[in-house]
Amino acid sequence: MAQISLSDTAFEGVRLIGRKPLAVLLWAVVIFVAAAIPVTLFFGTLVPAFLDLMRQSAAGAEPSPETMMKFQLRWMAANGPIMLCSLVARAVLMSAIFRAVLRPQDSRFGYLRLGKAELLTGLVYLCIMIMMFLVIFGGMLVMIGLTVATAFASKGAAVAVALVLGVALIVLLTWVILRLILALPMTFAEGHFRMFEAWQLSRGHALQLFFVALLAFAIVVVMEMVLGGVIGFAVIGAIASHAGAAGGLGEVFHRPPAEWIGQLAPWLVIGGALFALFGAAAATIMYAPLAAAYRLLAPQTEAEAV
Amino acid sequence: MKTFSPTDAALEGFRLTREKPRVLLAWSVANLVISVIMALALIAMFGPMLAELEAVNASSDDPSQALAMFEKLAPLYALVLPAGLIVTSVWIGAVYRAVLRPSDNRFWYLRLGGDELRLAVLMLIYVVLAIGFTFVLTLVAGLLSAGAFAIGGPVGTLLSVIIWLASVCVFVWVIVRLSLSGPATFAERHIRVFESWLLTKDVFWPLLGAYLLMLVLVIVVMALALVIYVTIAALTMGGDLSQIGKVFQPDTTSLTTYFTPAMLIYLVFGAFLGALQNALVFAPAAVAYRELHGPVEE
Repeated sequence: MAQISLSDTAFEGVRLIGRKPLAVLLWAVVIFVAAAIPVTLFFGTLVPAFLDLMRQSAAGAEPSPETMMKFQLRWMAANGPIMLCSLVARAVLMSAIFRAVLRPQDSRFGYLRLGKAELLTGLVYLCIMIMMFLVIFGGMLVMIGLTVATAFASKGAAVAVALVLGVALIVLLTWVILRLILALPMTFAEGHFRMFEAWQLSRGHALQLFFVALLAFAIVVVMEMVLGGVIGFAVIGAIASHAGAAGGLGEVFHRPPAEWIGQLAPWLVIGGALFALFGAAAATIMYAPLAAAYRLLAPQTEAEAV
Repeated sequence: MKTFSPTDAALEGFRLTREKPRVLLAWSVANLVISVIMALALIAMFGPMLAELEAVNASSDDPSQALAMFEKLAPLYALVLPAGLIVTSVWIGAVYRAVLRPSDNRFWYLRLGGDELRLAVLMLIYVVLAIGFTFVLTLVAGLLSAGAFAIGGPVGTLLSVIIWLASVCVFVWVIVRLSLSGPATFAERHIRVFESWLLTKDVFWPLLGAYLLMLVLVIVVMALALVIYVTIAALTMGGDLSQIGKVFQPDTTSLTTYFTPAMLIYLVFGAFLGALQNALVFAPAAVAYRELHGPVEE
């Protein structure tokens, strides 16, 4: 049985950043654009309406049900495209990373495409998310039922039951994710929707995959602490000093939205660009090991096709 | 042991609609025609009464008033339930035919004949069996649970809840084991109530996986459809989003108040979505039957 090498697999993302830094830059652009669309939509439509509502409340005038309803509908209408935009960006980015690992020679446009592979990968991602939600929902129902029932007899026992079941739910959730997660690179590589085939492929490898994910996550956390901390503080500090010069953050937000959004825009753009770069690196570190693990575990014929 | 791919079974509805787009279009048109006819019939016969019921529900908490309204609406149920059963049988029959007898494609697989009649009878049998089984299961679980509760202490209470959870699992297990009765009835042209039990021996988990994935895919399609519908409706109605919410609480007093622009968009969109949903929901069982039973006589 093929084995997953921890060092080979977990560091695949770091190696990829070293091999293809320009591609990672392009991926950061994708994240930036994908984030800019919803942010523009959010600030353009929802923030002014929300601030109007807040001002009405502060002035003692209760917003009418019609105003509230209109705001809620706007919120709902904006939410859909925002989520869709984020999903498409994630699918494009994930597929680009898989392509860079599994088909390194196919490097046009920094491995970025928008086609069948991206559609299928996005669909599999969404399905895994919904399955996780169903597992959490079902698990929570069982946990609440058993805890409440035990609480009638003994409060101490109920706490113990809740703790044991909580841990069991987390273990179950992690195990299901690990068994299904290879469906993402598998779908990309084989060009067909794959879900339970990943269950077969990951049989006997859940623990190895867990350590790979843990190591990749640790690398991201270290990167976040070092780079994210420095960049985050610099940007927030710059915004705060700018706001301080303008009479404090509270004063800035009391001005018309168009005015303060305009003033903060350059800083938001710089901060957004830096965080997009950080996001692209983090995504590379997290997703590349999946493709590497798939390459190791896939049957020889499929691996050759890849 | 014969087996099947749960992923392929769950995706069969998508495959069907991708390979036969004209069939999907025809099913959408048929769905739209049925929706419009049902709406016309409802408004013509019961429109003012439905509006009155809505008003009673909104203005009063008195259950006797609502009950009196429901009594008046009894003929509505006498019309809607059999019509719903027939329409559902036609849809299930069409999807099973497309999967199990693909060459029999006259009228885009839509028929109302012996196959559909058998499916309708099977559904009625299953409703009766489900009521009886739920009753027995609840009774047994209730007795066992009461026995466990009598032990007392946290262990007794915990056991009692575990028994109830186990009864839910038994219910799901039985439903999954019997889920191939529909395709078996259709394919073998005889009502098959329990044959599915033998066919699904040893394939419970793949079947459950296929149905779970199908459910997830339906959620994805519905969520995506809602986003598209809200966007189309908002664009068509110049951003007046308040009209969209009213679609779900239509004014049934007359045809003009019911058929608003938002409702027309909703009906057209809903007809397409309904046809797609039928294919997604009913096709997996037919594929599982075909793979587990072997070639089906056309």
